[in-house]
Amino acid sequence: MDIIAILHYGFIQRAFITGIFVALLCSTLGLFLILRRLSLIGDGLSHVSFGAIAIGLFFGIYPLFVAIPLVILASIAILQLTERAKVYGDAAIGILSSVALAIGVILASTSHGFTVDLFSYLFGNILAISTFEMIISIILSVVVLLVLYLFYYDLVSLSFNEQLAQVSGVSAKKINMLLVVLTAITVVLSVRVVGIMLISSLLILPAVTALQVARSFKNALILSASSAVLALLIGIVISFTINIPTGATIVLVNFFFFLFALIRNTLRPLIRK
Amino acid sequence: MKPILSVQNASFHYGGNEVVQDVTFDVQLGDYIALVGHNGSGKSTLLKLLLNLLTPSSGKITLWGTPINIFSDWKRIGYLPQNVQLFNPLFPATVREVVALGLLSQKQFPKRLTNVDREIVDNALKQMHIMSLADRLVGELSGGQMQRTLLARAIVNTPELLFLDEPVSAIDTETRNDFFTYTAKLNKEKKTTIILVTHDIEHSGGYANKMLYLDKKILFYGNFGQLCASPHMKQHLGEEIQHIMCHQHS
Repeated sequence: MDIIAILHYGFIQRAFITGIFVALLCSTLGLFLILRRLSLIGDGLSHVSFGAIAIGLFFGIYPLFVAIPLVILASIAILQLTERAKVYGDAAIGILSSVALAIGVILASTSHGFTVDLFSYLFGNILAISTFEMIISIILSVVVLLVLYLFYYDLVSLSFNEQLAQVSGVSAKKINMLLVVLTAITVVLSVRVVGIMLISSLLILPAVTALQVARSFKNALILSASSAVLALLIGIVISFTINIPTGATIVLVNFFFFLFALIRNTLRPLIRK
Repeated sequence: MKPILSVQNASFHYGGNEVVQDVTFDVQLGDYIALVGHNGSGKSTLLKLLLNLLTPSSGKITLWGTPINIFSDWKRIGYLPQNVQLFNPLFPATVREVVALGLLSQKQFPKRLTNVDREIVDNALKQMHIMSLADRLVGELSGGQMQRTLLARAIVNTPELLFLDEPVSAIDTETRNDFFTYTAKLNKEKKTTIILVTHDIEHSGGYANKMLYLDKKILFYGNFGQLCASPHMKQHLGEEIQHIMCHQHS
């Protein structure tokens, strides 16, 4: 099928536009999460979003409106559990995500009416994104990207070394809080693109691909963002052309990019010899 | 003269274990203080208290008269942390980018780097003789190169007070000598006040104007000559060790 012809479809245009914003968001934020060793928080919060979406569907409220505040609250709770209750970070993520999953499963079992909807959130469907969802995604993406831009040096400094950052006047607590709240928003926005099950891959794969080849921090950010966007575009075209699930295709294209970067890195010293 | 750093009856404990006990001392402008003591004597913990990285269980610490918990003028401070090998080797920043982070304390929100800042960074790289490494990833540096990079980061904002935590523990003799020579020059020519945490009493004695010997509490605070002449320290260190240490230096 002609690629230009595909672009004439409204749903494909919405998918491309929303996907590009979400890909930019996940790939830049993901780099900071990985370097702060917080990449699992994306996985945990995606499980929380499952519970939150189930609550929204159960009460007949638009799921994103329930998921955004609830997932933000959960991200703050994870941070508070880690800092105040002295629970290890991964354990705190485990607690919140399993509780949210349990709530989601119970709600799904009590009402059969929305189980089908809930499953569409589990695996995502970027081709079914409405204009309203696209606009919300663009607005929130721009806000998150702007916040990332404004706090860029604080985030880099804290990712490099927390103690050094603090002695440079960077508040680790505030920036950590900012990072998890931005992650919460990003996770909810990504639900429609790749689904709850695959969100963490959007946060992790472009960033680890960039880390394989980057020659500076800015270079890493650009590589992460460009590989994520490229994987998204290729993923949508392939999935539409051969009729396979879009979210999963995007994830696999991202994985092949990572594999390519890994092989290139491994072979490079051998070729030089 | 008013001290730039004042510590009054500061104590700190992890659980029930008191690591720093009732420490009181002042630091004057232009001092070069070697904070010495054996492993586990609380040197690094004390340094973290001085930098507000830990909060004292009791006592008071002030920087330029401001209590440390509300101190915000971090551009006056430089810090070189311990264990440079423990930095994430996968961190994708160049030497130049890492050194530039030392300028953040001078910046207001939203923090941005200018062309002037880039020149300042390049000057710091030249001072540390690492200009050729400017575009190298920090993960590719040797221990000594990393040490120089982090020292460049610590001095890039021309701090008035420089904290150095065990800076020579994992580097070769040549780099160590360069390091001491450079910090002494900084202290003499730019009047940078230096607090150096080290277990290397002999070497630091040649550069520091004051020795602070810590074993959870302060055992000694004075100059190196006084340390060598101190009967109290002779008793603590043992006559032979004190003699070797002081003899080598003289």
